Amino acid sequence: MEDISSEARAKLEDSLMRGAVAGDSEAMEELYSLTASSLFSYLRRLGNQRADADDILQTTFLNAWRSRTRFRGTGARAWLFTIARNAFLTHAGKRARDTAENSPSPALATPSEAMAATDLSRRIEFALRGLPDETREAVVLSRVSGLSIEEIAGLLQTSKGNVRVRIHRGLTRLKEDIEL
Amino acid sequence: MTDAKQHLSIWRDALEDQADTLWNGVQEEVAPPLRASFAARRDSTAWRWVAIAAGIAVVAVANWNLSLHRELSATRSLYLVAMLQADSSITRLTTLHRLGGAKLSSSIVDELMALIKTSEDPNIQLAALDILLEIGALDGAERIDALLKEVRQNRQFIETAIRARTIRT
Repeated sequence: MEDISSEARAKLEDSLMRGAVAGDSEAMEELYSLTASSLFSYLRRLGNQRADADDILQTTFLNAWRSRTRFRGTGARAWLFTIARNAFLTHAGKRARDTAENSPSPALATPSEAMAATDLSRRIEFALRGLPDETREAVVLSRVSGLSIEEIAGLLQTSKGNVRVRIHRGLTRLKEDIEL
Repeated sequence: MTDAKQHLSIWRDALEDQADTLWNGVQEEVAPPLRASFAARRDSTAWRWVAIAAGIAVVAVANWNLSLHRELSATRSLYLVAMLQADSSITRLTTLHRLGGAKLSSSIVDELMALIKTSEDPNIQLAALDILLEIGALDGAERIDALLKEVRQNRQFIETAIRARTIRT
């Protein structure tokens, strides 16, 4: 959707979400097609395996559908990201309880894995995984969410300045880790 | 500045020459297909087309708005009321977008109120609501309550939208 302006895209997404509020499931499906890849990329880079990210994504849209009357009329994308983040936190909490005994996070890269990653995109992915959670989240949201700094600040419940600092700090560390 | 430019600026500030390389390296992954099943489908795909057309209309009418007289003549008011009463959602939405920022006659204000009360289309309801809030036609809890009592469709949505807008302002 990068060929249309973010403003036009946002209006279209809001419009579809309002359709969903009126009970139109097809509007919700259309909204999925517009936003799912951004949400999926975000969830993947929070450290989820593909299957887990898929589950959380599906849960996100089910939750959005069920609570659609709470939509405020604008900001559909930010609203979906908030729901996705909550679904992720719930999922991560369950997972932590299920694997309380010394199970390492499957998403963390070992140094040898990182060394083995040769092409740039894989090196970036490994380096991203090495960032502290809140720094990584800000960097990922900056790239794949399509949200403004203000919206990201709302999502992360922090200030715009702090979001900028997190992104800047994360990128500086990425640059060092990847050794561009 | 668009959202993407805003972010690129931060990336370039942090990464300098490597910013674009890293920006392009962090690609969006393609999401799996939707597995969830929502409520029973409607018979038509009208909503989807209304939504898509609304997005296009927003862009298309931007130039019209620039040239619209800020004060509408009586004849023009009658014409616009007729447009607001049109069967076509697109016509209504387009007309609503043209009204933004204009000084409105009482007949148009009444028609906007009627649209919120009677329309089944939340896009139309919200567009009308935004105009009424902008011109101060819904100032005060009593006016809002009176309106909400008569909203036939999407009442909870309209109530939430009003609350969000009045808190924000």
